[in-house]
Amino acid sequence: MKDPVVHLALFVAITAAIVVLSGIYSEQDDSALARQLPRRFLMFAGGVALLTIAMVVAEATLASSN
Amino acid sequence: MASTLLGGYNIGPTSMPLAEPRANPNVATVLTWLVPGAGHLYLGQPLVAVVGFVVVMGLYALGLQLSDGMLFELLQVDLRSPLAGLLAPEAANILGSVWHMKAHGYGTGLPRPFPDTLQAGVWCTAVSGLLNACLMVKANMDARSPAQGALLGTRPALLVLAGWIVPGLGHWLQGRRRRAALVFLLITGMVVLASGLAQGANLDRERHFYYWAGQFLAGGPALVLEWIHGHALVRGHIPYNDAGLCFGAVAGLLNVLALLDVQGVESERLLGAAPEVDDKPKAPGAPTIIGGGQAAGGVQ
Repeated sequence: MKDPVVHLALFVAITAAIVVLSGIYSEQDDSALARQLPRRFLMFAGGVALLTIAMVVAEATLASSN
Repeated sequence: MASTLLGGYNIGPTSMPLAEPRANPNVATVLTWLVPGAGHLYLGQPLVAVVGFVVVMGLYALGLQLSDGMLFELLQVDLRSPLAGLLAPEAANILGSVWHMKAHGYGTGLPRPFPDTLQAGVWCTAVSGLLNACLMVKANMDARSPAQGALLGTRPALLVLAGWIVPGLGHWLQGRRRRAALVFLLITGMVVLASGLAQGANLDRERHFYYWAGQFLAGGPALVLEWIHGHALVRGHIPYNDAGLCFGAVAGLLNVLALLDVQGVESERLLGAAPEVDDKPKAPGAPTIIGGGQAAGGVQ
Protein backbone atom coordinates (compact mmCIF):
# COMPACT_ATOMS: atom_id res chain seq x y z
CA MET A 1 0.00 0.00 0.00
CA LYS A 2 1.25 3.48 -0.90
CA ASP A 3 1.63 6.15 1.77
CA PRO A 4 0.17 4.21 4.72
CA VAL A 5 0.50 7.24 7.00
CA VAL A 6 -1.55 9.40 4.64
CA HIS A 7 -4.17 6.67 4.29
CA LEU A 8 -4.36 6.32 8.06
CA ALA A 9 -4.71 10.08 8.52
CA LEU A 10 -7.49 10.20 5.92
CA PHE A 11 -9.24 7.29 7.61
CA VAL A 12 -9.10 9.05 10.98
CA ALA A 13 -10.39 12.29 9.44
CA ILE A 14 -13.39 10.72 7.73
CA THR A 15 -14.12 8.50 10.75
CA ALA A 16 -14.17 11.55 13.04
CA ALA A 17 -16.66 13.32 10.78
CA ILE A 18 -18.90 10.25 10.44
CA VAL A 19 -18.87 9.44 14.16
CA VAL A 20 -19.47 13.01 15.36
CA LEU A 21 -22.21 13.84 12.86
CA SER A 22 -24.05 10.56 13.33
CA GLY A 23 -23.79 11.20 17.08
CA ILE A 24 -25.30 14.65 16.60
CA TYR A 25 -28.24 13.03 14.86
CA SER A 26 -28.86 10.37 17.47
CA GLU A 27 -28.09 12.24 20.71
CA GLN A 28 -29.65 15.58 21.62
CA ASP A 29 -27.72 16.17 24.82
CA ASP A 30 -24.28 17.66 24.12
CA SER A 31 -22.60 16.37 27.27
CA ALA A 32 -23.96 12.84 26.75
CA LEU A 33 -22.72 12.99 23.17
CA ALA A 34 -19.24 14.06 24.31
CA ARG A 35 -19.14 11.12 26.75
CA GLN A 36 -20.23 8.66 24.06
CA LEU A 37 -17.76 9.76 21.36
CA PRO A 38 -14.77 7.56 22.33
CA ARG A 39 -16.98 4.46 22.46
CA ARG A 40 -18.64 5.36 19.17
CA PHE A 41 -15.25 5.95 17.57
CA LEU A 42 -13.95 2.57 18.76
CA MET A 43 -17.12 0.80 17.61
CA PHE A 44 -16.83 2.34 14.15
CA ALA A 45 -13.11 1.62 13.84
CA GLY A 46 -13.65 -1.95 15.12
CA GLY A 47 -16.46 -2.51 12.62
CA VAL A 48 -14.32 -1.26 9.77
CA ALA A 49 -11.44 -3.48 10.93
CA LEU A 50 -13.71 -6.55 10.95
CA LEU A 51 -14.98 -5.69 7.48
CA THR A 52 -11.42 -5.26 6.25
CA ILE A 53 -10.40 -8.64 7.67
CA ALA A 54 -13.42 -10.28 6.03
CA MET A 55 -12.55 -8.70 2.69
CA VAL A 56 -8.89 -9.72 2.88
CA VAL A 57 -9.86 -13.30 3.81
CA ALA A 58 -12.40 -13.44 0.97
CA GLU A 59 -9.85 -12.03 -1.44
CA ALA A 60 -7.39 -14.76 -0.49
CA THR A 61 -9.92 -17.59 -0.55
CA LEU A 62 -13.40 -17.49 -2.11
CA ALA A 63 -12.85 -14.44 -4.29
CA SER A 64 -9.26 -15.25 -5.24
CA SER A 65 -8.54 -14.82 -8.92
CA ASN A 66 -5.29 -16.81 -8.85
CA MET B 1 -44.92 6.00 16.55
CA ALA B 2 -44.26 9.68 17.15
CA SER B 3 -40.60 9.03 17.88
CA THR B 4 -40.27 7.17 14.56
CA LEU B 5 -41.79 10.03 12.62
CA LEU B 6 -39.65 12.57 14.41
CA GLY B 7 -36.32 11.13 13.41
CA GLY B 8 -35.73 8.35 15.89
CA TYR B 9 -35.66 10.39 19.09
CA ASN B 10 -36.83 8.68 22.22
CA ILE B 11 -39.46 11.10 23.45
CA GLY B 12 -40.12 9.11 26.59
CA PRO B 13 -43.16 8.47 28.73
CA THR B 14 -43.21 11.94 30.31
CA SER B 15 -43.73 13.70 26.97
CA MET B 16 -46.93 15.55 26.22
CA PRO B 17 -49.29 13.68 23.87
CA LEU B 18 -49.37 15.00 20.31
CA ALA B 19 -52.54 16.83 19.28
CA GLU B 20 -54.82 15.35 16.63
CA PRO B 21 -53.10 16.04 13.27
CA ARG B 22 -54.79 18.07 10.57
CA ALA B 23 -54.31 15.38 7.89
CA ASN B 24 -52.19 12.37 7.01
CA PRO B 25 -48.58 13.70 6.90
CA ASN B 26 -47.30 10.80 4.80
CA VAL B 27 -49.89 11.43 2.10
CA ALA B 28 -49.10 15.16 2.08
CA THR B 29 -45.37 14.45 1.80
CA VAL B 30 -45.65 11.87 -0.98
CA LEU B 31 -48.06 14.04 -2.98
CA THR B 32 -45.59 16.95 -2.79
CA TRP B 33 -42.77 14.64 -3.89
CA LEU B 34 -44.79 13.55 -6.93
CA VAL B 35 -46.14 16.99 -7.87
CA PRO B 36 -44.80 20.12 -6.14
CA GLY B 37 -47.67 21.81 -4.33
CA ALA B 38 -50.02 18.81 -4.52
CA GLY B 39 -49.59 18.10 -0.80
CA HIS B 40 -50.80 21.59 0.05
CA LEU B 41 -53.73 21.22 -2.31
CA TYR B 42 -54.59 18.10 -0.31
CA LEU B 43 -54.26 20.17 2.89
CA GLY B 44 -56.64 22.83 1.54
CA GLN B 45 -53.95 25.48 0.99
CA PRO B 46 -54.34 26.32 -2.72
CA LEU B 47 -52.27 29.52 -2.55
CA VAL B 48 -49.25 27.73 -1.03
CA ALA B 49 -49.77 24.94 -3.58
CA VAL B 50 -49.72 27.33 -6.55
CA VAL B 51 -46.74 29.33 -5.26
CA GLY B 52 -44.81 26.12 -4.47
CA PHE B 53 -45.58 24.66 -7.90
CA VAL B 54 -44.60 27.83 -9.76
CA VAL B 55 -41.32 28.31 -7.86
CA VAL B 56 -40.16 24.67 -7.97
CA MET B 57 -41.26 23.87 -11.50
CA GLY B 58 -40.33 27.34 -12.76
CA LEU B 59 -36.77 26.80 -11.53
CA TYR B 60 -36.72 23.37 -13.16
CA ALA B 61 -37.98 24.82 -16.45
CA LEU B 62 -35.31 27.52 -16.30
CA GLY B 63 -32.69 24.85 -15.68
CA LEU B 64 -33.92 22.82 -18.65
CA GLN B 65 -33.80 25.91 -20.83
CA LEU B 66 -30.27 26.89 -19.76
CA SER B 67 -28.88 23.36 -20.05
CA ASP B 68 -30.82 22.61 -23.24
CA GLY B 69 -32.10 19.50 -21.46
CA MET B 70 -28.66 17.88 -21.64
CA LEU B 71 -28.24 17.06 -17.93
CA PHE B 72 -28.61 13.30 -18.29
CA GLU B 73 -26.30 13.31 -21.30
CA LEU B 74 -23.54 13.99 -18.75
CA LEU B 75 -23.96 10.39 -17.58
CA GLN B 76 -21.57 7.85 -19.03
CA VAL B 77 -23.28 5.65 -21.60
CA ASP B 78 -22.95 2.46 -19.55
CA LEU B 79 -24.64 4.12 -16.55
CA ARG B 80 -27.75 5.20 -18.45
CA SER B 81 -31.04 3.51 -17.59
CA PRO B 82 -34.65 4.59 -17.03
CA LEU B 83 -34.02 4.88 -13.27
CA ALA B 84 -30.50 6.36 -13.40
CA GLY B 85 -31.80 9.82 -12.59
CA LEU B 86 -33.16 8.68 -9.22
CA LEU B 87 -29.72 9.15 -7.64
CA ALA B 88 -29.59 12.80 -8.67
CA PRO B 89 -30.90 15.72 -6.56
CA GLU B 90 -33.55 16.28 -9.25
CA ALA B 91 -35.24 13.07 -8.03
CA ALA B 92 -36.72 15.06 -5.14
CA ASN B 93 -38.98 16.58 -7.79
CA ILE B 94 -40.54 13.61 -9.55
CA LEU B 95 -42.72 15.62 -11.92
CA GLY B 96 -39.69 17.62 -13.08
CA SER B 97 -37.56 14.48 -13.49
CA VAL B 98 -40.23 12.63 -15.48
CA TRP B 99 -40.85 15.69 -17.66
CA HIS B 100 -37.10 15.97 -18.23
CA MET B 101 -36.69 12.31 -19.17
CA LYS B 102 -39.76 12.38 -21.45
CA ALA B 103 -38.76 15.59 -23.21
CA HIS B 104 -35.00 15.14 -23.48
CA GLY B 105 -33.92 11.79 -22.01
CA TYR B 106 -30.35 10.93 -22.98
CA GLY B 107 -30.48 12.98 -26.18
CA THR B 108 -30.76 11.85 -29.77
CA GLY B 109 -27.57 9.84 -29.73
CA LEU B 110 -25.96 12.28 -32.15
CA PRO B 111 -23.11 14.42 -30.79
CA ARG B 112 -23.89 18.09 -30.18
CA PRO B 113 -22.09 20.79 -28.18
CA PHE B 114 -23.04 21.53 -24.61
CA PRO B 115 -24.42 25.06 -24.19
CA ASP B 116 -22.30 27.69 -22.39
CA THR B 117 -24.99 27.95 -19.71
CA LEU B 118 -24.94 24.22 -18.94
CA GLN B 119 -23.58 24.63 -15.39
CA ALA B 120 -26.13 27.28 -14.45
CA GLY B 121 -28.84 25.05 -15.88
CA VAL B 122 -27.89 21.93 -13.94
CA TRP B 123 -27.58 23.98 -10.74
CA CYS B 124 -31.15 25.22 -11.30
CA THR B 125 -32.59 21.74 -11.79
CA ALA B 126 -30.69 20.40 -8.75
CA VAL B 127 -31.79 23.32 -6.54
CA SER B 128 -35.35 22.77 -7.75
CA GLY B 129 -35.17 19.27 -6.26
CA LEU B 130 -33.83 20.64 -3.01
CA LEU B 131 -36.56 23.29 -2.79
CA ASN B 132 -39.16 20.60 -3.34
CA ALA B 133 -37.63 18.62 -0.46
CA CYS B 134 -38.13 21.71 1.73
CA LEU B 135 -41.71 21.96 0.45
CA MET B 136 -42.14 18.31 1.47
CA VAL B 137 -40.93 19.19 4.99
CA LYS B 138 -43.48 22.01 5.12
CA ALA B 139 -46.30 19.79 3.85
CA ASN B 140 -45.42 17.11 6.41
CA MET B 141 -45.39 19.57 9.30
CA ASP B 142 -48.50 21.40 8.10
CA ALA B 143 -50.33 18.07 8.01
CA ARG B 144 -49.14 17.23 11.55
CA SER B 145 -50.20 20.62 12.91
CA PRO B 146 -53.13 20.47 15.31
CA ALA B 147 -56.50 20.33 13.56
CA GLN B 148 -57.52 23.44 15.52
CA GLY B 149 -54.47 25.69 15.48
CA ALA B 150 -51.74 27.39 13.51
CA LEU B 151 -49.89 25.69 10.66
CA LEU B 152 -46.35 24.88 11.73
CA GLY B 153 -44.52 23.92 8.56
CA THR B 154 -42.79 27.12 7.44
CA ARG B 155 -40.10 27.38 10.11
CA PRO B 156 -38.79 23.77 9.90
CA ALA B 157 -38.66 24.03 6.10
CA LEU B 158 -36.74 27.31 6.24
CA LEU B 159 -34.33 25.92 8.84
CA VAL B 160 -33.61 22.94 6.60
CA LEU B 161 -33.01 25.28 3.67
CA ALA B 162 -30.71 27.43 5.84
CA GLY B 163 -28.81 24.33 6.95
CA TRP B 164 -28.26 23.40 3.33
CA ILE B 165 -27.12 26.88 2.25
CA VAL B 166 -24.64 27.09 5.15
CA PRO B 167 -24.05 23.80 7.01
CA GLY B 168 -24.83 24.39 10.67
CA LEU B 169 -26.94 27.51 10.09
CA GLY B 170 -30.12 25.59 10.88
CA HIS B 171 -28.69 24.58 14.28
CA TRP B 172 -27.48 28.15 14.86
CA LEU B 173 -30.95 29.59 14.22
CA GLN B 174 -32.35 27.03 16.66
CA GLY B 175 -30.01 28.36 19.33
CA ARG B 176 -27.81 25.25 19.29
CA ARG B 177 -24.61 27.18 18.71
CA ARG B 178 -22.01 24.57 19.64
CA ARG B 179 -23.57 22.01 17.32
CA ALA B 180 -23.81 24.65 14.62
CA ALA B 181 -20.07 25.34 14.86
CA LEU B 182 -19.26 21.62 14.87
CA VAL B 183 -21.45 20.89 11.84
CA PHE B 184 -20.06 23.87 9.93
CA LEU B 185 -16.44 22.96 10.65
CA LEU B 186 -16.85 19.27 9.84
CA ILE B 187 -18.91 19.62 6.66
CA THR B 188 -17.04 22.62 5.25
CA GLY B 189 -13.71 21.14 6.27
CA MET B 190 -14.51 17.88 4.51
CA VAL B 191 -15.56 19.63 1.31
CA VAL B 192 -12.40 21.77 1.31
CA LEU B 193 -10.23 18.72 2.06
CA ALA B 194 -12.03 16.78 -0.69
CA SER B 195 -11.35 19.52 -3.22
CA GLY B 196 -7.70 19.65 -2.16
CA LEU B 197 -7.27 15.90 -2.45
CA ALA B 198 -8.98 15.73 -5.85
CA GLN B 199 -7.32 18.98 -6.99
CA GLY B 200 -10.75 20.36 -7.87
CA ALA B 201 -11.67 17.43 -10.12
CA ASN B 202 -14.53 16.61 -7.77
CA LEU B 203 -16.19 19.97 -8.52
CA ASP B 204 -17.53 18.94 -11.86
CA ARG B 205 -20.86 17.33 -12.60
CA GLU B 206 -19.91 16.30 -16.12
CA ARG B 207 -16.87 14.48 -14.77
CA HIS B 208 -18.39 12.80 -11.72
CA PHE B 209 -22.18 12.82 -12.06
CA TYR B 210 -23.06 10.80 -8.95
CA TYR B 211 -20.26 11.99 -6.66
CA TRP B 212 -21.32 15.53 -7.51
CA ALA B 213 -24.87 14.63 -6.49
CA GLY B 214 -23.65 13.57 -3.05
CA GLN B 215 -21.44 16.62 -2.71
CA PHE B 216 -24.31 18.93 -3.72
CA LEU B 217 -26.03 18.00 -0.47
CA ALA B 218 -23.21 19.77 1.41
CA GLY B 219 -24.76 22.94 0.03
CA GLY B 220 -23.15 26.35 -0.11
CA PRO B 221 -19.49 25.38 0.45
CA ALA B 222 -19.58 22.85 -2.40
CA LEU B 223 -21.28 25.24 -4.80
CA VAL B 224 -19.02 28.18 -3.89
CA LEU B 225 -15.92 26.02 -4.39
CA GLU B 226 -17.31 24.81 -7.72
CA TRP B 227 -17.95 28.40 -8.78
CA ILE B 228 -14.43 29.46 -7.81
CA HIS B 229 -12.36 26.44 -8.71
CA GLY B 230 -14.56 23.98 -10.60
CA HIS B 231 -14.21 22.69 -14.17
CA ALA B 232 -10.42 22.95 -14.12
CA LEU B 233 -8.43 21.04 -16.70
CA VAL B 234 -6.93 17.81 -15.41
CA ARG B 235 -3.34 17.76 -16.61
CA GLY B 236 -2.06 14.59 -15.00
CA HIS B 237 -2.58 11.80 -12.53
CA ILE B 238 -4.26 12.93 -9.29
CA PRO B 239 -2.97 10.56 -6.56
CA TYR B 240 -5.82 11.08 -4.09
CA ASN B 241 -8.65 11.72 -6.54
CA ASP B 242 -10.71 8.77 -5.25
CA ALA B 243 -10.31 9.88 -1.65
CA GLY B 244 -11.38 13.40 -2.60
CA LEU B 245 -14.51 12.14 -4.36
CA CYS B 246 -15.35 9.95 -1.36
CA PHE B 247 -14.84 12.79 1.14
CA GLY B 248 -16.98 15.21 -0.86
CA ALA B 249 -19.88 12.78 -1.27
CA VAL B 250 -19.71 11.69 2.40
CA ALA B 251 -19.75 15.35 3.49
CA GLY B 252 -23.00 15.84 1.60
CA LEU B 253 -24.59 12.71 3.04
CA LEU B 254 -23.54 13.71 6.57
CA ASN B 255 -25.11 17.12 6.03
CA VAL B 256 -28.37 15.29 5.39
CA LEU B 257 -28.07 13.79 8.89
CA ALA B 258 -27.51 17.30 10.27
CA LEU B 259 -30.58 18.56 8.38
CA LEU B 260 -32.67 15.67 9.71
CA ASP B 261 -31.51 16.61 13.21
CA VAL B 262 -32.62 20.21 12.64
CA GLN B 263 -35.99 19.14 11.24
CA GLY B 264 -36.64 16.52 13.92
CA VAL B 265 -35.83 18.80 16.85
CA GLU B 266 -37.81 21.70 15.39
CA SER B 267 -40.81 19.45 14.76
CA GLU B 268 -40.74 18.19 18.33
CA ARG B 269 -40.42 21.71 19.73
CA LEU B 270 -43.31 23.05 17.67
CA LEU B 271 -45.59 20.13 18.43
CA GLY B 272 -44.77 20.39 22.11
CA ALA B 273 -43.56 16.81 22.27
CA ALA B 274 -39.97 17.39 23.29
CA PRO B 275 -38.00 19.55 25.66
CA GLU B 276 -36.02 22.47 24.37
CA VAL B 277 -32.29 22.03 24.59
CA ASP B 278 -30.12 24.94 25.67
CA ASP B 279 -26.40 24.68 25.05
CA LYS B 280 -25.36 27.91 26.74
CA PRO B 281 -22.67 27.35 29.38
CA LYS B 282 -24.10 26.45 32.78
CA ALA B 283 -22.86 25.83 36.25
CA PRO B 284 -21.24 22.40 36.76
CA GLY B 285 -23.83 19.74 37.44
CA ALA B 286 -26.70 21.77 36.08
CA PRO B 287 -29.04 19.79 33.79
CA THR B 288 -28.78 20.44 30.06
CA ILE B 289 -32.48 20.08 29.33
CA ILE B 290 -34.25 23.09 30.73
CA GLY B 291 -37.84 23.35 29.73
CA GLY B 292 -40.93 22.38 27.84
CA GLY B 293 -41.77 22.75 24.17
CA GLN B 294 -42.23 26.05 22.48
CA ALA B 295 -45.77 27.33 22.00
CA ALA B 296 -47.15 26.73 18.55
CA GLY B 297 -49.00 30.00 18.23
CA GLY B 298 -47.61 32.76 16.11
CA VAL B 299 -45.84 30.47 13.71
CA GLN B 300 -46.79 30.56 10.04
